[in-house]
Amino acid sequence: MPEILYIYAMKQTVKLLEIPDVETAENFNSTADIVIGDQFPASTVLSLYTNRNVKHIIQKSNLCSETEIKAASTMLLAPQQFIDFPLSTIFGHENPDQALENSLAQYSFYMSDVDQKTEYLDMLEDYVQQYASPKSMSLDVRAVADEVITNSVFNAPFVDMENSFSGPTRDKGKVMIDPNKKPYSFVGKDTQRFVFGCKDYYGRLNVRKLIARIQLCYQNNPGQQINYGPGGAGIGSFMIFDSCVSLYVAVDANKSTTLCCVFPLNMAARQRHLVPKNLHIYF
Amino acid sequence: MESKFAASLNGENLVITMTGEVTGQSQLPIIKGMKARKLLIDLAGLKYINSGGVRNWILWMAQAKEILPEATFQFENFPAAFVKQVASIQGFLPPGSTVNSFFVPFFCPTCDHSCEKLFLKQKDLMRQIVSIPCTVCSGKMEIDAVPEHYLEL
Repeated sequence: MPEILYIYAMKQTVKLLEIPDVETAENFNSTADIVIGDQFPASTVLSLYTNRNVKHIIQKSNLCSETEIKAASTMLLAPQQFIDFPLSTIFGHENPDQALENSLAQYSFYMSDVDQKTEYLDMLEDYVQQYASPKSMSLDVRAVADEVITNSVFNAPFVDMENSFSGPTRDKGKVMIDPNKKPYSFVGKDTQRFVFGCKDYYGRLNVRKLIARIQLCYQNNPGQQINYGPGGAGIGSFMIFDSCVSLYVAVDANKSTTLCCVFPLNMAARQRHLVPKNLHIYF
Repeated sequence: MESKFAASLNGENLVITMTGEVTGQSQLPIIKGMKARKLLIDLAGLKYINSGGVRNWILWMAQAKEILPEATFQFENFPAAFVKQVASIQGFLPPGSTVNSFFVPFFCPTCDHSCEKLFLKQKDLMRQIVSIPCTVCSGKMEIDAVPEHYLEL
């Protein structure tokens, strides 16, 4: 298997490993910063992280592979850039600043009141419908935003670093959002991709547990993973990963968690479903 | 998105109508104490469900089955957002239930027009739902869902 050193920012390098098939992906002898593959099912992508600690998996048939490699390299070598300027990094801009990031965030909001979540989601869905097609994508974005924002409000402020217990019951009116730590949601797009992102200011997401939970849903069935006790239903993370084609998660411990989901533009749900998934983690 | 859920008895049929969205906080209709041979659930106007809604829905369905063990469960105007859940979440619909009609979303790659069309469950359905003519540009509209999901209905 060829190992490629990807030259980043003139001097630093990251190690890319191209894996030809799923069988090799489950049993290879090498370390790599980024694994390049194709047509890996979602469960293989997840197990590359859980079993081999590969934090960046990029598939050739996904969208904009070169830009995704660039974004992965940035997350590896200059993670603060992704944390500060996620859209700029995902879209492959070099030396971004706040002004560029703000201009890429075509629609954004800070949520200050749990009771307004539906209102925010309605507005987001309307926005997506106006600027991106097809219609099914706006429903996917809404569903993903709902789960991500819910986690940022009901889990992020209450969980420990191990995420050993879930947040409180999703009861509106019982949870207040700290005015200094309002979750920030944003969307942006380039010619092929639409991105929804959300940042909380707690940085307590345990990504290992998150990915393991999604993996269980793919291995068994999400119906068997539903939590009927207090807290969340336990399948929201599966719904997030299943709906998007590329998932970016960055945890700046005790400071922030940034989660971005990429959707392909102008692609019917049937085709979107066939796009093999990418995963990017900074944890 | 405003949600409305209502239940009414029509002879031996219990008719439930739902619009809006199903979330973890949705107060789904109380059917305790009701008797019926058929539970007819009309989901026209129901557009959205989240993970909390999936849990709420499964619990509600299980409760309905317990209260009306002999009744047949039939669904009308099954929304596209729910079809995806039926295909991916085991136990989303109670065993033996029937979906009589459902919505299929379509998208025209030529003019970007989107629409939903209601289909009745029948033979050779897959051939019919894969594409329809676009009412705006006369192009070919593609199904804007995963067709295989409809096989689960």
